[in-house]
Amino acid sequence: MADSPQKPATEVVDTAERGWAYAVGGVVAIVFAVIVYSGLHWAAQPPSNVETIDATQLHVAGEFVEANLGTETRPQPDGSIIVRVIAQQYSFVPSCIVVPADTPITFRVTSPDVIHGFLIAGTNVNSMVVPGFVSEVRAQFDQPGEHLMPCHEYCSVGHAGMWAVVKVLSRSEFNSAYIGEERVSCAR
Amino acid sequence: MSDAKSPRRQLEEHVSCAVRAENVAAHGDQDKIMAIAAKGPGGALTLAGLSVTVMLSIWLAFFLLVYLPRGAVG
Repeated sequence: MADSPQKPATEVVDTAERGWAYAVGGVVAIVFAVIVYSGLHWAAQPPSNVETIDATQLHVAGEFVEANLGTETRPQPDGSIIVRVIAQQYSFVPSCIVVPADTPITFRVTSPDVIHGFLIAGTNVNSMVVPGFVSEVRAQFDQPGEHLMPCHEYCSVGHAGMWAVVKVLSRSEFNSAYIGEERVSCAR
Repeated sequence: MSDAKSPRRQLEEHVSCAVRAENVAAHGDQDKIMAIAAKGPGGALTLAGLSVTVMLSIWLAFFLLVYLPRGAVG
């Protein structure tokens, strides 16, 4: 059998490694392109509101006093509805949030004690809640239904029991159920 | 005068069991090894290619079937 002319091993290995490096570079480029495209085209971004607040005064005065928590039924000029929530060891206040479907919702969440997590199951809502800062997340629910809202940052011994519910009502149901009320939760 | 070798001498003369002939796969001589390498790392590329394809497919599936339908947040 005649020997066919063969490339030296070093050249073969070098070519294979260079080819694999290009392939991996291509995969990374695809992933980055998808992320950048969806970020720009869809305006998708990680919630990154940097807004400070005095964590020692939350319950005493200002935006997060108890009477101001829950869903503000009067829409903002841009049509969105604001929901204010306090995450504290070991509960969310209010623990059952009610919002209308097909409406832009702005969640404003803060903590008086330690770092908590704000996550609404079945949606992309996912943020940390850091004492001294206000986390702001904008989202919209297309369908009526209920979503679990567990704390997903370990916040000490009672963490496992810290969860709330987001109840999404159709717009007409929401409007008729809470007519004339300024701020509402499941407990009204 | 003692027969004991110095630690440095012992270290120099030590042969690791990892390079003993009975512990190393028999690939033959250097020429045979180079002949094998010259055929290219086809198996490694196939395995790595399949792994990356599976991983990228799962990532894209989550992106397209889970992340996008859930809607934008910001």
